[in-house]
Parts: sequence; structure tokens; C-alpha cells
Amino acid sequence: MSLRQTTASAEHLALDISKTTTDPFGAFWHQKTLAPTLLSRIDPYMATYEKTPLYGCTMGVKDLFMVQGTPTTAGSRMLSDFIAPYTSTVIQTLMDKGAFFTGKTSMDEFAMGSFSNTSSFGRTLCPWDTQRSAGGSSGGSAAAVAGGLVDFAVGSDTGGSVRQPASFCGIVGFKPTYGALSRYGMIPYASSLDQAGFLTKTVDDVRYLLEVGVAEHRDVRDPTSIDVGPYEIYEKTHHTIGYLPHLLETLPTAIAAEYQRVLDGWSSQGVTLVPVEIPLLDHAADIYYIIACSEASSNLARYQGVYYGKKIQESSGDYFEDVSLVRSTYFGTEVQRRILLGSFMQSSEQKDVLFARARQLRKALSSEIEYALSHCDFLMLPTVPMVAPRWDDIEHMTPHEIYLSDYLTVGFSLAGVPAISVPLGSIEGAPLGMQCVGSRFKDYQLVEDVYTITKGLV
Amino acid sequence: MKKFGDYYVTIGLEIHVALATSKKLFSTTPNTFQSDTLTWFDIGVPGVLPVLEREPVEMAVAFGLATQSDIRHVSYFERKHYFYPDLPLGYQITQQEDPILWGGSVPIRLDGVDKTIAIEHSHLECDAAKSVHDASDDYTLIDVSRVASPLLEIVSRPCMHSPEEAVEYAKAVHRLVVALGICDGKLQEGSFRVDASISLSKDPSRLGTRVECKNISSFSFLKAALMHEITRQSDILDDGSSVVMETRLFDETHGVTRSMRSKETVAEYRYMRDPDIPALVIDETFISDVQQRYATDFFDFREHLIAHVSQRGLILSEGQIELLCAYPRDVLLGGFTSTDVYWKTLAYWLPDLKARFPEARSLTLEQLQTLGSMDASASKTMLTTYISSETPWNECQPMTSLDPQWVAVIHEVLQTHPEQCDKMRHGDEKMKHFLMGQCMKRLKKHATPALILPYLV
Repeated sequence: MSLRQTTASAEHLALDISKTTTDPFGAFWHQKTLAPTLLSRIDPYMATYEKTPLYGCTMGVKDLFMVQGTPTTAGSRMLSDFIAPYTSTVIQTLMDKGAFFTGKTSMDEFAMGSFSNTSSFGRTLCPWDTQRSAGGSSGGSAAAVAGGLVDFAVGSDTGGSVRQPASFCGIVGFKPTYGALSRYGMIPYASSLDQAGFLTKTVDDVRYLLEVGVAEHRDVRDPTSIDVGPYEIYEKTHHTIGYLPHLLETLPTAIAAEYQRVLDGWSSQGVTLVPVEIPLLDHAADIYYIIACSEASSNLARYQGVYYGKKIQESSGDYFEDVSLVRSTYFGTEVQRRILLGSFMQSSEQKDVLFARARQLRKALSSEIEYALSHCDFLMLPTVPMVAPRWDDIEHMTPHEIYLSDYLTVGFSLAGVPAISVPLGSIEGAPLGMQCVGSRFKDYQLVEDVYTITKGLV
Repeated sequence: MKKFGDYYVTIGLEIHVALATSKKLFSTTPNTFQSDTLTWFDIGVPGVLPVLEREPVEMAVAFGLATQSDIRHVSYFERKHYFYPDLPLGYQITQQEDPILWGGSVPIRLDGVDKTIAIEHSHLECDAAKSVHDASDDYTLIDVSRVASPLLEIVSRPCMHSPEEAVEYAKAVHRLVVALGICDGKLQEGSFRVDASISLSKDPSRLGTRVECKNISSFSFLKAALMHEITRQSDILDDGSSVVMETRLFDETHGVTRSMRSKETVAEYRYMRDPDIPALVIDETFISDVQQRYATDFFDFREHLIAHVSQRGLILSEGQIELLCAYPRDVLLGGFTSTDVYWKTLAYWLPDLKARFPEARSLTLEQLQTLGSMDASASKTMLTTYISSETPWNECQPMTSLDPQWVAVIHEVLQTHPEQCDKMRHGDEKMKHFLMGQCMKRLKKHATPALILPYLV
């Protein structure tokens, strides 16, 4: 059911709430707590929200977002008892525009992970093949939409956490320009990279969300947020798309072939293809992980068992020992790994070496991307250099390999540009997303152009 | 340079000024220590972001203008990380590489000699919570009312060479921040905290090992701590040993400094520019707006004031000068064209009376000018009456003559007491007192003995 044309019915709302409790993919958490309350909200909602643009649309929300009164854990035992005292701006805006909240979706712990498998609350299965991962860190939001459990979902994208699960699950995932959506109410992972994003079935659904003004105004409570302004686009009859020949040469054969096939298809539609280069893209993952882990180690410093987290036992008498015990007990392995890496990068010996260099390279990479974008309407490339992996195969991947698999998405996070993954490809039946990347603040135009070109294809 | 035994002493001070803003540095929580309202930012609720308030920045700029510091048009905030229960975020928001103020100086006068003490830099930062150890047997409690309050940290150059110099500098900074209205100056409440660093060296061109002293809550304790350190370090160096670079706490009860429980390694704060806070940009409009609203010419004006009153022949102590400078600017300016009585009121009589009657009403500029226009004794009488009682201002005016109706009453009293009058006229003092009493009984507050007396003799 498209967001644009939804006819509201109480039955649909009740059905989607019940789907969260029978959900076979591990896409929803806290259902037992939430479902009864949400059911009781249906009637008042039906009476009050009639004139809103998202009337009757059900919405899943990643458990990273504060929704007042709901358990909000960020997938971590550290926050397993935490109830959100307020609602994040993005969610409040969507609810004010009529979106009906049906549940909290599953994720990797503190948004750190690529396969929705780092949280100790359980992993998320890919709806079209439950032997495979739904991706991460917004796996739950993607699985909920792909599995038909909800009309659309909100996720967060720091290095690809909305785009990659969209690619794995065969749906659309959109990450706006950094600052276009307020971060107020998002449990922070890497502050200069985090952005709320949307998981939907179609590009038109993302287009509709932008049309109704979700990104229009900046939020005074988020000093890094920016006014993107009211929805405005101009019609184009002809499009120029940038592509990366370097990737055609270096990607795994099947992925490269699929990339070529989509490009050929567009070309035959009359799209002009322009080859571009982003030399630093091959190093994007290194740059990303240095910066993201550094910011993460800072943002997670507050979890010490005093204000958040539970006490393990009687105090050892030494504050630092107590804190160590709380953090090593209630943080999962991946989170601990990234905190340690980040602390190392930020130490006085390394800061001027690794971190300073990463910051410089980030600027250089952003310039390369801007330059590439100046030659075209938008760039197009595969979202991930793989299809949804099997759980068995994930067991054999090293952390380093997993980090490197993000390199196609992280570069655009670093540059703060908008990007949308559209399920245009497939390999032996497994969906492969193509990522379309636009210039900063040109979110509306990017989505419009992608919609125009892919009309009928998705 | 003064020598202490064989040694030259070098001192630097870090002063933390609690800014008297209405709200905290990055949130709209009211900035009072008694506040029982918190916003989520103060206790680090995830997802809440720091939003910089304007007032603390204004106050920092005011300080910068008054000390002729270089006010940076672009400065940044950084996170200083360490784990401690008094730091809810696990990091303090401060400025390190790119603070808002660079340089600047503070003039002092010591033993009649003028000197300028140089400031290294000053920056804005958040205060921490306060650990309370003695409220419970089993727990240390954390008082979070203070956390994230705005502080201005003023770091001097290590350019002071005696405890007296350091104390004069600290007092000068204290005077300034109180006069600017950016700090209430209450040392005992922690509004103005001084950390001192001191090193000794036989060679004046080289610095010795630096020792930092914390927990100093008054100017006399500052002097005591530094004197103690000089003795302690001299003894160590005389013995041929080395001074350990460390932080020591001042023990008020015993007047000595004590080593803190040692940390083997230098603290690793992992300073990182705060990604949530955009660059702090200050333009010329902002600066001139501050210049107009704050008394940033404090040091110059103070010199001008002191020169003016000494020209009038008024001898004022340091304490009296401080009290004088604490008056509002328009009150002091009013004095330049007024009389000696005006200054004596401000500098001597009013402070004395205020000390005895702390709850008394304040005077307006007009009232002060009225007092200034009278002769000394009349002025003092009127002032005393007003401060020490609830009498309305108009009725405090000392009487200079009696209304005819009251004169008539006196005559009536005399006429009804012919025998006593007669005896009085023949020199009987007792009768004079008796008749005075009778008159006062009838006239009450409408006359004073001095005004009645002429009619009796």
C-alpha cells in the first residue's frame, strides 16, 4: 500500500500491530509491552488525524529513537531498562503528519554492525530468505517493510545502516543530507555522521514523505541541523548520470556485471552516462572507521553504571574497577571493539597521526565527490559489494572484512550527501540495490530524478 | 626579582569564575545552585544535544574587553574525557586548542609599584557535578545542580614571583569580575576558585618542577598554600632531592598542602573537537554590543576614581576602595561633580551603617545627591535615621526650625508652668530639664531638644 494513496482503516492499524507480535523475522522488540497500549490508541487516532497527509500509514521505528514512554534500548543490555522520557523530533514530526507508530524495530547494538547480529536481544532475518541476514544496523526496519509488517519504517544511517539493509532486503532506503533531519532524540553513535533515514517499498513513498515536509525545517534543539526548505523540484526530460568505471573493474564479477546491466538499461532509456572518478573511495572505509570509532568512544563514555546501566554486584571499592565491570558486562563485543579502537585513535600519540589524517582525508574525499557530482545529476553505483549473506558465511568473516564491505556507502556518509538505494539489481534471485547519490541539500531533486528514471522498474 | 632563600619562585594561577548567567552554558536550565529543575542535557540523557546560550559568551567577551584580550572571531569547543561520577557525560565540554580569548592582562599595584600580570588565555567550559561525601555513611552522593553551569577559566602566564603578587592578581581579577557583573564573587560558595602552580629554581631564567595546588577557598589560604609550598620545596631542594611534579590539595585546618592519591601516568583526556557544536562565531556587532552594556573600562575607571578621591584629600584603605568600586557606575559618576560629603557618605558612613543594619533599604542616586548637598553633620544624621529605622525619607530630613504651631505649644507649656519657668531663669538646671521633658512630651517627634532649647532660655 503506497503512502500517498493509503486509505485509512482501523483494521489495517490493528492488523499491523498484531503483526509485530507474530513477526517471524525478529524485526520487532518490546511488542508485549507496547502492543496493548498501541491498540488502545487506534480509535482516538482515527478520530483526530483524518486530515493529515500520512493518515492510516503504519510506521516502525528503530529502537535507537526516543519515543516517549517506550523502552528504548539501542539494542544494548546497557539500556535494557531504559524508558524514553521524550520523543525525538523526526518521529514527532512524522506522527504529527499522521504516521501511526506500531512498534520498535530491531537493530545492531548502538547502531554498530552490518548484519543485525551484534545485539544480544537477537538477530534479524531477511524476509525473502531467513537463512540470510537482513543487514544492519537498521535490519529490523528493513525486514519489517520487506516482510509486509508495516507501511514504512524509520532507521538511522551512519555508514550505510539504512541503505545496506534496503539493498539486502530488496526495498528502498534513503539517507538525507547530513543535517536535513534533526538528530534530537537519536541515541548517538557517531555525531558527525548519524542521520535518520527511511525504509520504504517504493521511491515514490520516499518522495511523498519529503513532499509532506518532513525535512523542511531545522530543529533549534539540534545545532547541526539545517533548513532544507520547502519541497521544490523542477521537471527534467533528460538526465545525466555519473558512474564509476573503476568499480566495474574492481568489484566481484557478479556485482560488476549487474552494475553494467543496469547502466546499459538506463542508457537505452536515453540517460546520458558520464564516467567519473573518486580515487579516495577505496580508502573510504579506513577514513570512516577512524572517525566513527573515535566519536563512538566519546558518545558512549556516559554509560558507566552511575546514571545508566545496572550495577553488577557490591562495589569493589574502586570506582574505575566498577565502571570497567559494568561496561564489559553490558556492552557487546562489537561495541567494545569500536570503543577501544576509538580511544586508541584519540590518544595523544595517535591523534595527530591517524585522526588528524582521517579528518584531512575526509575533506579531500568530500571534494572528490562534489567534483564528480558537478558533472552529472547524480551518481549511481552498487550499494553493497554483495547480496544478503548467509548466517553461516557471516561466521567466517573477520571484523576487518566486515568493515571493508561498507566502503561503497561510507564515503557518502563522510561527505554528508544524500543517497538512496533502489532495488534495481538481482543476482540469482537475491536483490542487489543500486545507490543513487546527489549533491548536498539537493535531496528533493535527487529523489525526483530517481523516481522519474525508475518509474515502472521497481 | 625577590628571592626566597636561594630560590626564585615562579607562580601561575588558573582561576575558575562561575558566570552569573540566568541559564546554564548549553541548556536552558536555570543557573542557580538551589535549582531543583534539571534538563536532560545536564545528566547526559542520550539524544539531547548541547545548544549554546548567548549570555555566557557575552560575559566572556566582556572580560576579554576589560583585560584587552584578543577576542577570537572563531573558536571551538572540545570534549575532555575522563571517567568520574561527577561527570555525567563522561566528558567535559571545554575549549582547548581554539579558545575564545587569547592573551590579555591585569594591572596590579604591590608595595606602591605598578605591574601588569599577563594572561595566557581564557576559555568557556562546563562545570562538573559535586561529590558530597558526608551526607551518608554508605554512599557518596552526587549533587547535579551545578553540572554544566558556565565557567570562565582564566589561565595566567607563569609570571608571578611572590605569593603577595599572586594574591594581588587574584584579588584584581576578583574585583573585575564582580564589577562587570559576571560573577557574584562568593569564594566560600565556589563562585571563584583558584588553583595555583608554583616552581622553584636557583636560576631565574629556568623554571623548576611545577607543583599544582587545589582546594584553595580564600585569598589568605592562597598565600598560606604558596608560602607552605615554598618552604616545602626549598627543604627538598636544599637536601639535594628533586621535587615531584604532582597535584596537591590544600588542607585548610593545618595550613599545609598534601599529596593527592598518586596517579602513575599523566592523564589521557583524548581531547576531541565536539561534533555536536558548530564553531562559535563572534562578529564586531556582538562585541560592540557587549562593550556598551558592560563596564569594560573597569581598570581605567578605577584608576581615575582613586585619583579623584585622593585629590579631594580623602584617605581610603584598599577595602574602602573596593567597596567604593562596587557601587553602580552612575552613582560614582555623580560624585565627580558633587561634594566631599557625597564621597564620605559612600566611602565611610554608608558602609558602616550597612554593616550594622544589613537589611536596610538602598539609597537612590537622588537621595545620595540630596545628602551630598547638606553639611556633614546634618547629612550623617539624616542618613543614620533612614538606614536605622523605617522612617520614610521625607521625614528623615533633620529639622532646622519649628513650625509656628509647635512654637505656640512650647509657649503654652511655659505659661502653664510659671513657677518652674521662674526657677529656670534663675539658673535651676533641673527645672530646665523638667520643662524640656514637658515640651518633648507634647511635641514628640515634631521637635528635637536642640530646637526647643532657644525658647526656654
